[in-house]
Amino acid sequence: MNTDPVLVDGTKKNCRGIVAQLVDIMSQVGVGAVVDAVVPDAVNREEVINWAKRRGYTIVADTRRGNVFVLSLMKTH
Amino acid sequence: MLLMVSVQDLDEATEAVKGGADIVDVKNLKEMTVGSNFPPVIRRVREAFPKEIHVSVTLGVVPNQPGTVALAVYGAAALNATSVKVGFVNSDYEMALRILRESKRALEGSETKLVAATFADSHLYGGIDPTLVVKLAKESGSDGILIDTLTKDGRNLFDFMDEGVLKDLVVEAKDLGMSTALSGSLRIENLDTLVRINPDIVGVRGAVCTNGDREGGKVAASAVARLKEEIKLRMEGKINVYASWLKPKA
Repeated sequence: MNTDPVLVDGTKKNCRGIVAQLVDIMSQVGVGAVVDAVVPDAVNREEVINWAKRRGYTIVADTRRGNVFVLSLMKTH
Repeated sequence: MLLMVSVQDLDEATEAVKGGADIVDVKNLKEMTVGSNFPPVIRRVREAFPKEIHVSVTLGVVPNQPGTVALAVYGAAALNATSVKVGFVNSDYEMALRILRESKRALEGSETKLVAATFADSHLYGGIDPTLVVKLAKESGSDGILIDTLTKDGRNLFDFMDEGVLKDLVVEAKDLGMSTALSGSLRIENLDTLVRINPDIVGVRGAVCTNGDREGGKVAASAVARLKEEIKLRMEGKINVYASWLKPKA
């Protein structure tokens, strides 16, 4: 079984923002899966955190890598 | 937040891209304030830039003719537009939904995205409630939403809809997996509010035109670059967008 985290790169130029991309990915992965979201800035970091809380996902890591943030979200239900 | 600049021709598109625009939105101000441009103009703009530069086209306010609109949407796809915006004023909900569903069908097999658009000042024209845009987009399978204005008399988006309502619509659309865009005579002084709402795309024209004149002026790369930098400073938290929000109003 592949347990590598799924990566969603929100730094790429995409008309659909990181939250919309996460909505798709989270609907495709199973319970217990971890999704790493690469977030380009502070405003979107806050938005992803608030969205994850609303959805009831667990934030297992929140790190800064250079100019971007990486949030690891676990699908818990 | 991506920056979308409305342009009328290849010269303006080149200025916009030089200044750092992420999306050039090809329109024709001679046919209403949000009118459509001619296929050769759109083709020239599309062919001038790599795919990473998104080229959107607007159909403006569409007539209550699903077949006509679907054919125009098909044309946008044939021109390889990144997205096509279909806007409603004098359409009731059922007609707008039918037009969007037919438009979506017209895009089958293409990469062009469908954006449902309403106008914040729609009530001035006896038009459809702009807050229905998310419901319309969801029920039609559209890929995104846009809220714009038709009035170009100095008033802007925030004169017609307040921050809280816009924020709720943007959050709802994002939760449904859609792209979200706000436009409507937006200027640098609106950036704090826009960043608090955080749509995926912010659309401008007058703010990046010479003399701030959306009709008589031309898009200037330096103005685009300045706006882009101001957005970046706010998105990175280097300018506190809540400072102006918390300040008591005089």
